[in-house]
Amino acid sequence: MQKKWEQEAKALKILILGGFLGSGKTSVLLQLAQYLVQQSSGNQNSRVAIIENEIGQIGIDDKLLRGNGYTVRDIFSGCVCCSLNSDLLSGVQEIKREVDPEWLIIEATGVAFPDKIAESLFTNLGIAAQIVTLVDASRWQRIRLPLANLIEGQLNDAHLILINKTDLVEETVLREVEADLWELNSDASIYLINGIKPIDERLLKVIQNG
Amino acid sequence: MADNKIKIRNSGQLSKRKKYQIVTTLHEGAVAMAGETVFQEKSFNALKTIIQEEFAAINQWIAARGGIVGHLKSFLATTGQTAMISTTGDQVSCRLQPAAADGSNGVLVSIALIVFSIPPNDLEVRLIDLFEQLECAQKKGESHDR
Repeated sequence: MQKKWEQEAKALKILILGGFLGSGKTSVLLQLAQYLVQQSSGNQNSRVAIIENEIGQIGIDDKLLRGNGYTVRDIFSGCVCCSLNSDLLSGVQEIKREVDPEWLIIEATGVAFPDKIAESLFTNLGIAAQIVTLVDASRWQRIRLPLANLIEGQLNDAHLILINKTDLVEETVLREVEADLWELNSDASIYLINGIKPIDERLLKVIQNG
Repeated sequence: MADNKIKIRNSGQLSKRKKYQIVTTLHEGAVAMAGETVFQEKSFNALKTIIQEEFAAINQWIAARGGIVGHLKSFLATTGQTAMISTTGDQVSCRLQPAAADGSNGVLVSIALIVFSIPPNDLEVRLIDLFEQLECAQKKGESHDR
């Protein structure tokens, strides 16, 4: 039974969007989902499904995403990287069964460790997910040391790191953030984005192609 | 949509307050606290303004205590429009979006606060205070209509 599921699930591409609170995950998710829908052959929102994990019992971001017409499944009141891991696995299986999307985007909570989510998906469902972690350049120096365990953990195993809100910091600060990130995860590709301009289509393609 | 009445659950202030549902979750040093209720539709703009002002005040209050704002977010939805109010400790932003008219009669107000290094009970008092301000504004609006 598990083998059959694993074979079927191989066609499902999973992308985990991680990063600290307020780093811009939901904004990036909306742009990425729109791009993926445009690229899909059916050109329907059902080609992209979203799992929205919010730490508090009451979701805010899921309301925004639903307003944009996507299939959204919520997992509230905890974090899918630890206490709600079984909810995540059943959620992925349910989405595959009922919606069968080409892409599943998991927006992690701002206090989640994306590598733990990826590890669980691989161990339990045989799916290798891609991790994209967002970093808020404007708050990096404020939170880097007080929340070091969390901030560093969120960068583990990230394939891509998007430094967001680059328009809000000086060039020298930006270089320091980049140097820090390079030290923490030298395997990841690092890109700069900001809230003023939409994400460049070339970068969206990079995310799409993994 | 949520019930019109706000109830307490899992609350440190349970014995003192009887009307609000505020749920707290702790994770990786973060205190996540959220509440939700429905107010009269005509109060949409007044509620939005109160939340924006109070988020700015909470930002200052947290900074003065050496805490860190993860985020403060609120989503207001009424028939025909929504507002997303958010801050990560500096400016408070508000994004308005048109929404489908769903025929519901009220404004759904959801508020979620995630902060670090602030005692949960202290934060809960602030959130209760915010809900009370919203309720007060609604009552004033109702009395003007009579």
